[in-house]
Amino acid sequence: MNQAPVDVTILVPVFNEEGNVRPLARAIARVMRAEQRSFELLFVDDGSSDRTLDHLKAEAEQIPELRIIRLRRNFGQTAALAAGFDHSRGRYLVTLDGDQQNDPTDIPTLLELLDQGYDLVSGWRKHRKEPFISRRLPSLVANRLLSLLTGVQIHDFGCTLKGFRARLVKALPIYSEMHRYIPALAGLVGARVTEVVVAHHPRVHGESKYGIGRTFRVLYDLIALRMLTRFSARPLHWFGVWSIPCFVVAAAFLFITFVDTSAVTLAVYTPVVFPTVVILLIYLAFHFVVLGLLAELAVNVFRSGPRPLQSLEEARRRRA
Amino acid sequence: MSGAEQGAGVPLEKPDVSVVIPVGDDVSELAEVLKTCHAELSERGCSSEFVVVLDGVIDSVFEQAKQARPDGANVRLVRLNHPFGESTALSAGFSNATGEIILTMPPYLQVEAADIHRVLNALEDGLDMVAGHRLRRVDPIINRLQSILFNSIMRFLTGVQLHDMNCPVRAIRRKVVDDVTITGDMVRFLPIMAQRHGFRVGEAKVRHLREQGKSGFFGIGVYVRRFLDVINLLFLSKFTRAPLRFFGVAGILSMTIGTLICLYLAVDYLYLDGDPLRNRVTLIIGVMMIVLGVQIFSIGLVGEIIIFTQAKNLKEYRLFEEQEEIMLPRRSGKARRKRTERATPDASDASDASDASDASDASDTSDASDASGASDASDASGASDASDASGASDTSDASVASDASSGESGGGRADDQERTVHRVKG
Repeated sequence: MNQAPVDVTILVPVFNEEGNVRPLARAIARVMRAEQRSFELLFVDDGSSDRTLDHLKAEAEQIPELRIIRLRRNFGQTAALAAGFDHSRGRYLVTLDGDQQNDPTDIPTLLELLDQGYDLVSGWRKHRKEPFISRRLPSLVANRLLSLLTGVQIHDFGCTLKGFRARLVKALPIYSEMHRYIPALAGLVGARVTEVVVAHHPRVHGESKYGIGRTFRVLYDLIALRMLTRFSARPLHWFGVWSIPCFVVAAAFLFITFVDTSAVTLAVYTPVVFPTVVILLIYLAFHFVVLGLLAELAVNVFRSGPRPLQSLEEARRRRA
Repeated sequence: MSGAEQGAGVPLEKPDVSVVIPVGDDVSELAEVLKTCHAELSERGCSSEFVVVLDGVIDSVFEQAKQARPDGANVRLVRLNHPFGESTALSAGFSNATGEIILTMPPYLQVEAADIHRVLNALEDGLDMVAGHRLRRVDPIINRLQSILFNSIMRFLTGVQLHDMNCPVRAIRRKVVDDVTITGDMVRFLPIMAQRHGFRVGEAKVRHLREQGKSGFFGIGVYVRRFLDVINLLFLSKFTRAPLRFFGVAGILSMTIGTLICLYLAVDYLYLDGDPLRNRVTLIIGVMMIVLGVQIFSIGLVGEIIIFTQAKNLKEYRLFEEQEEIMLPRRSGKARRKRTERATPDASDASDASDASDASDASDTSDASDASGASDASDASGASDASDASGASDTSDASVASDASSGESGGGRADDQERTVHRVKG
């Protein structure tokens, strides 16, 4: 197998897309041949149970640039993308959906923007061809939240059509459902992120694999994301900060208990309520400090592996 | 198909099958297990090795185990210097086994030895791991009910369609044990974990001879531990990569309930002339639930930090390796027959047993169309019917089976029409 690096890797995760893979592969190959760049076309078969793999193998005989990675079972889109990232050889990476809803003719635009120095170019499906209530509304809310909380000013975090600088995406930890948050994560660590309006076609072959339930979890993921990008290197600071208000409020209550001896306060609150609150707040304050220490311990013990965000973080600090 | 000479001595190259036997403290039947197992495997035409893991046994047991070495068998003893439990013992066995196919066996005659062929055949019909399914269970009804209940709960919770999670007879390809690590009590969930890692898992029916160990109800601690194991299994699978989704929901739930309690008390006092807060014990519950919620939530955050910093070390996916799978010579599980004086097959038993063996030997068409198929089946049921008889007749060597048409056909060796003599105890 040719291990030489190429300019662009087009990465397509597919799961049961037997009707789509052949036309898609041909369309991408046609677009990329017109570009004056070396490329590879990397399909990740995420444990398809239909004839997707056979179709891909047949197509690989026509297109020499086509490579196939096969996962042992269906691991989900994040894992498929992670596998693709790990096995890609291009300087630039472009990801596409396997269902032909993205248009390969948008790829040159993405590459141009990457050439201009952006680290990540996200597609924006401005005119989505999907039902409003079940698909577009939840996505709208999630996108607004993401944009608000991460400060990354793009409209469509969920679009699979994205271009990356390979160096960036290989530094990011891709797990759980992190693929949805790659632009957010990238923005938070200081990468230059932009977006471009892309075409969006209605699904022709096969079935959609998403439901409405996924947007509910975005909130938890966001809280985690925000904390992680800022404080995963020094969790004691993050948790330690929380113990300050606890101590302050506890001190205030103590002060009231001892100083303000008016009859009402004494009669109504002091004997039970105030001591309870003070004790619990102090308890919480210690809880946060101890937890921060624990997190610090965990982070330092596990620091044997590569620190994913270190270089990017430093780059951001230098720029700031 | 890898060739191996009949009745292999100590093979220099990799054996076809490594048999791993973890031993707790009882080695009284180890010699028999080794002997029957070795006989079955060499009859099949497989070279074999035996890895006996002595899980923190005392010296006298160790000496006994050393004696239990049948002629021509390649037996290695691995002695752990402290009882670490079955998972660790098996792991030690796996790392000492050299074969590509690993067969785990209990250290006593729990199942019909001939049925290891069914397990191995099933493995070769395109599976990576085959768990035994003990049929015609001989343990007390109360244990069987517990087992049925446990296994159906596990099928429901995990979706892995196995009927006998606790059967110690399993055939596993090396790549599975290289990929899946088991600790603590998780050995019984190895098939589930293997399936999660993307391996093909199935089961094969084996005839149950007898059961060692405690019968009836177990201590309460056993059930609690089992329950915690299941929680662990389910929790780890769902939330390892996103702990805040679990802790976040639990924490916010607790905080919400606590806040509602406190609000109710405040409203009650201020507007509905209820008791002042200092007289309400409920207040403490409410406040405690808020605090508990904060704690749970923040622990989830610590979990996120751990996963995030570990993420580059986690393998999020497993690639499908297209490698040639090692195939063993085939042999039907029902070929071996046993006759004892207490064998009393009846019609329903016969049909049952032929069902069972047909199911596991579906691909073995030449065997199924054997002229002596019907009598084979009834005899097989006789053997399983008389299971306690063969257990009881340990000291006699009366149960001699002769087999004129030993049913060897799948392996394509026509000259295997020899008479096989099976001794229960030599």
